[in-house]
Amino acid sequence: MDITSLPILSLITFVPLAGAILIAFIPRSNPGLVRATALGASLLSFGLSLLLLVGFLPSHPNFQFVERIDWIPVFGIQYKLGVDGLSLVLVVLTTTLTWISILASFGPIKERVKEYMIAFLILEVGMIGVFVALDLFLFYIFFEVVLVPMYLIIGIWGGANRIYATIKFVLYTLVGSLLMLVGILATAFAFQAAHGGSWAGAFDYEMLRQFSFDGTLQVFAFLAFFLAFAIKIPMFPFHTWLPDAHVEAPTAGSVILAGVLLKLGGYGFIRFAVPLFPDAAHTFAPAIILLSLIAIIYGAIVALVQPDLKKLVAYSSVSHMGFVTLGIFVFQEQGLQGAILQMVNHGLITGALFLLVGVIYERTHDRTIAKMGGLSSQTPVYAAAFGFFLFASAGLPGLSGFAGEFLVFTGSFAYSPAVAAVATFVMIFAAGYLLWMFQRMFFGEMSEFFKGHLSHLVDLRPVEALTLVPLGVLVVVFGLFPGLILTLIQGTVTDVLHGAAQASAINLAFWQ
Amino acid sequence: MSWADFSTASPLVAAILVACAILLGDLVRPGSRPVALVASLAGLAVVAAVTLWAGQTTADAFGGTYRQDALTTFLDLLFVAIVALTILFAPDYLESRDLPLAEFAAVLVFAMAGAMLIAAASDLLVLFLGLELMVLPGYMLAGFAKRDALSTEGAIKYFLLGSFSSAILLFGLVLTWGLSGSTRVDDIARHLADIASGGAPLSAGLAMGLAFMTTGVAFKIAAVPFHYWTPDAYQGSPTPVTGYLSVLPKVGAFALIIRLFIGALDPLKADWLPVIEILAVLTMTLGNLVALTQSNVKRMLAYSSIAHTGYILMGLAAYAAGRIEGLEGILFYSVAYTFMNLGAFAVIAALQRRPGVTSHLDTFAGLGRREPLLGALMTLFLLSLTGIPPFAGLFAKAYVILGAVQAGGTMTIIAVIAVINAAMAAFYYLRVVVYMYMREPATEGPAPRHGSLVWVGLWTASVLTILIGLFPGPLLDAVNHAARALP
Amino acid sequence: MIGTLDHTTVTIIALLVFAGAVGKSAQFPLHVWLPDAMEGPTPVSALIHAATMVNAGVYLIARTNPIFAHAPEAMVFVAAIGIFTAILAASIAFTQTDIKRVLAYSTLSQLGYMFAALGVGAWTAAIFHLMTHGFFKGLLFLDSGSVIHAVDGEQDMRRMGGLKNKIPITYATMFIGSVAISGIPPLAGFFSKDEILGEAFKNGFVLVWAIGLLVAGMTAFYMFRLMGLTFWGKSRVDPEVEPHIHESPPSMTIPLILLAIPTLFIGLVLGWPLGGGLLKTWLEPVFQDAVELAARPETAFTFMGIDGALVIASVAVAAIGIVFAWALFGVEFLGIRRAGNPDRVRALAARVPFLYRASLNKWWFDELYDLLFIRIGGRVAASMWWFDRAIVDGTVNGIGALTADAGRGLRRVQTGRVQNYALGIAIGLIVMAGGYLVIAGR
Repeated sequence: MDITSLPILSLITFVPLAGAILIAFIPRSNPGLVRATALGASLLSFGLSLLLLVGFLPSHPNFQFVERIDWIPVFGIQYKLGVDGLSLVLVVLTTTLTWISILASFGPIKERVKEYMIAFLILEVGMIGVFVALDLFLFYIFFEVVLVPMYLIIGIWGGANRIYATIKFVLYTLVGSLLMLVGILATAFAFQAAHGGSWAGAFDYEMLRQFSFDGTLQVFAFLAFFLAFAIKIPMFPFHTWLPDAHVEAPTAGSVILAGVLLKLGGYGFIRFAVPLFPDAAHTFAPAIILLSLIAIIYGAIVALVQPDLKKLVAYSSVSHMGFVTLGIFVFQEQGLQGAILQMVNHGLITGALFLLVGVIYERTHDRTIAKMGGLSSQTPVYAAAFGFFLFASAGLPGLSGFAGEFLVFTGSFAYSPAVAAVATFVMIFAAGYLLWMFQRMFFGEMSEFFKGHLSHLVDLRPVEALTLVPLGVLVVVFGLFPGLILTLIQGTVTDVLHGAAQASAINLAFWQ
Repeated sequence: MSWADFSTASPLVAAILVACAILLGDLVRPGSRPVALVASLAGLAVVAAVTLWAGQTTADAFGGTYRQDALTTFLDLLFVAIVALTILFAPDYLESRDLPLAEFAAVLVFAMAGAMLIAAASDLLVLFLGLELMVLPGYMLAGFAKRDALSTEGAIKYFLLGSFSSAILLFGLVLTWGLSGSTRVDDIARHLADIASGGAPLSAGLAMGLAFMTTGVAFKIAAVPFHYWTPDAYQGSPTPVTGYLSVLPKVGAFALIIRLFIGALDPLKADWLPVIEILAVLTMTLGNLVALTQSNVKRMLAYSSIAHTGYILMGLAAYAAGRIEGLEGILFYSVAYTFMNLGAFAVIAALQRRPGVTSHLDTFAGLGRREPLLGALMTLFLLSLTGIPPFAGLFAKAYVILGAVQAGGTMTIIAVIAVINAAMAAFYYLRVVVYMYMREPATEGPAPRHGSLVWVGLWTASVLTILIGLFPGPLLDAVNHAARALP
Repeated sequence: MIGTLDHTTVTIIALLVFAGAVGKSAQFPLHVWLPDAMEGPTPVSALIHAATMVNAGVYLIARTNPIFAHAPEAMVFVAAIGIFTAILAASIAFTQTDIKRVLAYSTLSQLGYMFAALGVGAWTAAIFHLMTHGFFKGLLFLDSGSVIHAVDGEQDMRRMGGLKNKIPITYATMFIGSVAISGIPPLAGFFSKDEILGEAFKNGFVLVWAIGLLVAGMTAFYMFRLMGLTFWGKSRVDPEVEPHIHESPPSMTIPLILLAIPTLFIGLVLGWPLGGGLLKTWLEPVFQDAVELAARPETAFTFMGIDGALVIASVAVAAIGIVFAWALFGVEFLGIRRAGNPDRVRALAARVPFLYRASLNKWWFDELYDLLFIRIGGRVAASMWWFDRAIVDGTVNGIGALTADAGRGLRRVQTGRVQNYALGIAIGLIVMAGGYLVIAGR
């Protein structure tokens, strides 16, 4: 079976949708079947994405597995899918985290399981679609599709303050992405105008790449795209939706939110904002680097004083994603490599951390760290797992977090040693908030609160362990062999930097 | 007056005949709902067929006062669809409140005829005639629930203010006629072209004429600051009527704008551009801002309609700035908006048949669970109204934004304002979803069975909303074709 | 290749690498963690805090000696930090009452010696001391564990005493360890410590040598203070525990004996003859370039000259320290029997109240760091969080509130009265007319 002859990308993208439709017909009285179908659909998607891995040729310069159908010829909008190293890696990350999240939802989600699984599967469609779309309009559509399922997941199955959190999430993201729509349309129009009024290829990513846009448009469009992605990542100061969304979302929702949804922003920068508007990217790079540094340090410091376990991990996400944007905008090879690695690692590690937080929340329905203590004697396996992912998050060498961070440091050092110094400094804070959290949770005397819940505090159940083990294995494997990912993404890295290298900053003085 | 005239105007004629047929049917079998339904739906099918047949040629009729072109056909079909859907949605609601169906349908079809006349008008008087024919039934329909004080109040306000604005519009038309010497749209355009090319200055009289005409149409489309009638009229009317009011008179009024402004006043578009820009911004912003505060679903959707008018006006402004995509945007948006809005109101009407559910948002709590299918459809329409893909609403918004972006300059800023508004709007649209799905149910009790007609209508509206979003190609072609019908 | 970099860069690199070593090997100012880490189980302390993990910093500097060789200023800094740590820690060890704490500060102090050695260019000496220290400190820690085990978990030396005959193996091995660390020949500590001090003096770091000499005496003093309090004199053990005092089982005593052997002999094996020896030959290639770069005159070891004088000085100082300790805390050795004299200790302490209190409070570093990092740092973090909630998020929520307020305000235009509406339309018309007239005028 020749993989390239199958429309494999469409399959991977829409298998979850098929699953969702199937589930719609399953009677509400059979949640077991619903769960099984959902898991099956996500596993199928996962399996197909592994096929992609097998069939992918890292040395091939362009996009692979390309599918193209003329969708709206009037405007040159196509249904065009394709992957390169970057998208491939992120697609596999998505499919992996999705089935893990669905599995992790089996226990906690007991009400309206059907709607939940449908929402989750549609979410998967959107996420994968974003990573494989090569048409700007199609990309936008998938980018937005992600919003509604997440809105429902947080809003229906979330915590006490979920309505506020989910509305904030939706409105914030929507402002950014709608502005991006304006940017997309402006870009397409500029292309069309320069090609004698013909819309052919106006939304086609590969064709737009080759076109050089004039300064004003670049600035405007880049800012529009920047806002959308900066809110998504989230960058300082557009990050305040994240702590609320994470805290209120159900565990699996947080996992997928941190694990994949945040990466949509990073991907957007690498795939669209920088290559399409390189001059504008250079112009705004210093400001973005500054914002990244602030995010890195600020996120870590604020994480130190969080009383809620989930909020702590949420702020640590802000800090970690700061590395991603830093790595991208220093325009150095190691920086970009590190940024992409960091995206993958953060997905795995923080995803696992949220799963772990979910474990304790399931048992006691409380995430207040002050109430915790002395858990390691009661649940040693859980403590070990938590500790493992904690160290991964802190960037312990040998585990995957280190490679990403280290590459970003190296890359930013080449840009400016001072920047690298500031960024490196944060590792102290990271160790601080992580280890302190661990200590307060697991060491010392068992807290009164835990003593009161002793019967609930069982160690990791098999299903929970099953969700964590794959992540742990990947963390170790990528920690020891980051080259596995680096070979895949090398093509993208070279390509993006090549384009960026030929750009120069725009003189913004003409604005005045 | 010749046979050819009537042949050209056959859709209009057919519409009037159908209306009469409905009335006749009711005369023969008083109060018989099936008869009224068959008469109206079958009749509308006939009208649609006739429209398509007549649409094969472009022709003028009645001495040049009536024009049949691609635009006419496009708009006519749209009007037929609106009325058909409204008639599908009405019976359940009317029946439960013991209101007659035949009169309802007949009045609707007359209004449709008026709209069709507007769509085909190439003369100021005919334009005005069509306008009045369209809106007078509307006043009646708004007060259709005779015993309901709120309905009567809304109707009276609508009537009073509507008449006021019609008079204003008429005065503007008169001024234009007086200063250009003709009531024919083409002649006016030619006369104004001279002025525009610098031959003669834009006189104060003409400026006043523009002002009056703009005010008049602005009222009809419920643009800010002439929108005051909308919330009261929409809230008071029976829900299916609200749905109808939010669509037909509005699209009809836009048809009026197209024929009048883009037809006759086209040479002066550089002059009415800034005014339209301001109207667009005011309309979309105020509509959205006040909608945020509404706890009555019908009133909220009334303000939402105002906001959508603002977006469509942006398309008009884009046209005035020189892009035909603006006009295309107006047409596309009208279609998408029709189905979304009608669908939303239809769902509300159906939900209101549940005891305890009024148009107050609180009573919608938990309805997502109690009426899963209706809840899902409502969510679909709300999402489409917000502009979330892959539904029709997104494409509609994208279209008008594209027009604005292409126009450039101030229009780009307006485009940005529009998207910020759209984001803001998400709050109140999603709030309904919040109540339906994320709150505990307020009403218990058995679910009423909804008539199959309502379901047919709802499925049609939703499927179209999805199809237009996923495969806008055919509609785009139609819109393209229609937009280029104007000289 | 390092030589091609400019001097400032190399110095900065060296200093930053040293910073890593400072943290790992608990030098000032990052020394506070090590004594607190003694809370862990004693074998853990023995292994990582005494013998292996903390050596990583020393090893790092030794391994990167080419970098340091090119940055003499950095080396001076290393020596300064090292010797300062040595005396700082030794001064604290004077007053500690927890047996493990004494050893902890002793570790800090000895590590300081090693860094001082590295800093003055005595590369091999540093490594030598690292090895000998590993043995005798490990021994001492395991010994302390054995003592604690014997007195049923008591770690406070004030409640020990007179244990000499009750736990003889522990006593003997601990005595050997104490002698070794005090630098009395021919045990291990003498060779390595003496080499450090000798090289310091000969390489021109006289201040380092002088302080190092003083610290040697201090080391001897506090170690034999420990011996006196723990093993000699009358028993101050808790009466309930007293009857149960027993020697540790072989699983604990055999390691003690095993470690005592190298403590006795490894100095001789690796360091004899003085100024040369097995270790020096072995490590010569490693440090060759650094030594060459330092370009100091190479002189042979002359016992009858400066080298001998230095050896005698260091041994003498150690001896003085031991005798001083005996005078204050008692001794039972080789027939000399003397009781401890707590009054004299108190009187002495009263004579130097500031020094005593400073020593007792570990020079208040813990309090300083607590203030700086926990309190002030905590406040900074808390205020940043406040900033995030109130200002950043406040802006977001504020925009929302503003929008809602705008909506509410605008809502009031809708009065419900048709007269108002008509008026509104009329006003709108007038404004519109005005607008068009303006446009027409242009």
